[in-house]
Amino acid sequence: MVGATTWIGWQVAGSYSRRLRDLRALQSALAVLQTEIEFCAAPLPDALTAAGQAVGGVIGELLARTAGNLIAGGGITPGEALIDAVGEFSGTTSLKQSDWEILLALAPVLGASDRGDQVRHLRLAAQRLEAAEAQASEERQRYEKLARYAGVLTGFALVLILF
Amino acid sequence: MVPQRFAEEVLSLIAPRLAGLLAAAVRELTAPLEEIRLRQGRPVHLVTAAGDGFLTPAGRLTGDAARAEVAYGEDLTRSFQLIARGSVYAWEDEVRTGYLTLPGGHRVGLAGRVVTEAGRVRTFRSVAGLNIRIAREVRGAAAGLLPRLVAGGRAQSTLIVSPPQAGKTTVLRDLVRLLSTGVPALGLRGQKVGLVDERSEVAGCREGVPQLDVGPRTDVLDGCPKAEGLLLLIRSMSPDVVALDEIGRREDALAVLEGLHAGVAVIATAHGFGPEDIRRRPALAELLATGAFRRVAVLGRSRGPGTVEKVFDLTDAAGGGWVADQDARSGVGGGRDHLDRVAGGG
Repeated sequence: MVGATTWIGWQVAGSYSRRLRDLRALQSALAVLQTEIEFCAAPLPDALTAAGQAVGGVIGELLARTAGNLIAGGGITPGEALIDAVGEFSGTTSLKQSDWEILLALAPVLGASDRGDQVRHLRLAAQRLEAAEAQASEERQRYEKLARYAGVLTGFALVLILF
Repeated sequence: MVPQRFAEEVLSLIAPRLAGLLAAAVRELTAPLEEIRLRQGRPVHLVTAAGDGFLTPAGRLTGDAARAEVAYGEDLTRSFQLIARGSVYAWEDEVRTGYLTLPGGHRVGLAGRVVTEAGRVRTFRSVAGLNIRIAREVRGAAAGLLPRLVAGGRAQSTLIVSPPQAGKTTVLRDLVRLLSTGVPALGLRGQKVGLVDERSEVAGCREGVPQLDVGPRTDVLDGCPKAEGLLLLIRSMSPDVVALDEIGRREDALAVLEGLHAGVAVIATAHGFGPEDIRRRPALAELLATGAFRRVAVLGRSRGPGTVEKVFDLTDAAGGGWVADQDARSGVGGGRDHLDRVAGGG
């Protein structure tokens, strides 16, 4: 029993650092995307693939899937391709809904305007992700250890109560 | 049946809601489709070689605009994004000029709210009108014209004059193909042709590779300004013939003269309804006065797009006068003087 609650505690604690890792990956990916758009004027599927390859992990897969959705066609816009991919991957990360909303705010404008406008939107998203990262970092410092101790202590407490 | 190429190259780039109706309408058309015009809040407009009409919600053509299917803002936005392949920013230069060329040589004209900077178009804030002009590859479109442009086994420098929508680009493309392939019956060996395709309409290049048949001996400079491209080709590709679409500016005229001095034949097209229009355009009038062109072919629509209305032989002309050649009005090449109709325009 103590093992089980400890494990749960570690999982909860781990989610704080995973969120931080994914937020950083997302920022790096958007930076690559911005470079691809601003300096190479690369078509969006290529730009998304490049950004995905640069960061790897779940975020990399998500961007690769967005590019894949776009290439598959069917009359969908880049924004819809992104929304579909986020719907598919959002359950597999530790990112919060508020984090996804930063990315999804790009959906209506992704690929739909000139370079200057795309860069503006990507910068704005990057700033918001930075703020989310700062918040995530603070939460991690505050709650990571707490979650681990809470896991172990809850286990002992339950043992004491039950036996 | 909607031709596969038309479905892939054109219909797949239109908002699916309208593409389905268009596919149905195209099957019913008796004349080839020339243009699909989407205007926000107004009926979907189709132009064919035989006339025009509006698309109905049942996927048919009607003359009554009140019964027609309307294109909404969402249709325009989605279609524009699909046409730009989800990367509007990658087409900034094209958007600035007001049109994009699709793979296959189809051209999409843009209308809507423009953003300017220092008096020049910077971009479109909103695209509220799209005109998709279907490029048609018609093999044999120039078969009737070619014999009259060849003398002594050599292609003569020719200016093709044509109003919009009379098959200028289609005829030029086929002329390039025939010259490049060679026509033994005319004593014409295959020529090395250099094609400057500034707007990617003639060869319909994708990544520099022609998607339409422009012959085995043709080199294409895709997206290159005409004057610069002509000189570049002469320096680098040793062409026998250089082909250009829509000349008219002074630098084009100067480049054509340079080309002729370098010993290549130049085949070019220009907008106009006839010789009078050409004479009124300073750059072209001067160019003709120098004797640069040996032939002037005038196209029209009197018997469908691509009808050769007249061919002037300027080598016989004295003092700049224009003499129509003998069989000019008699129809060319056994009735091959207007373009064959192609199902669905694809």
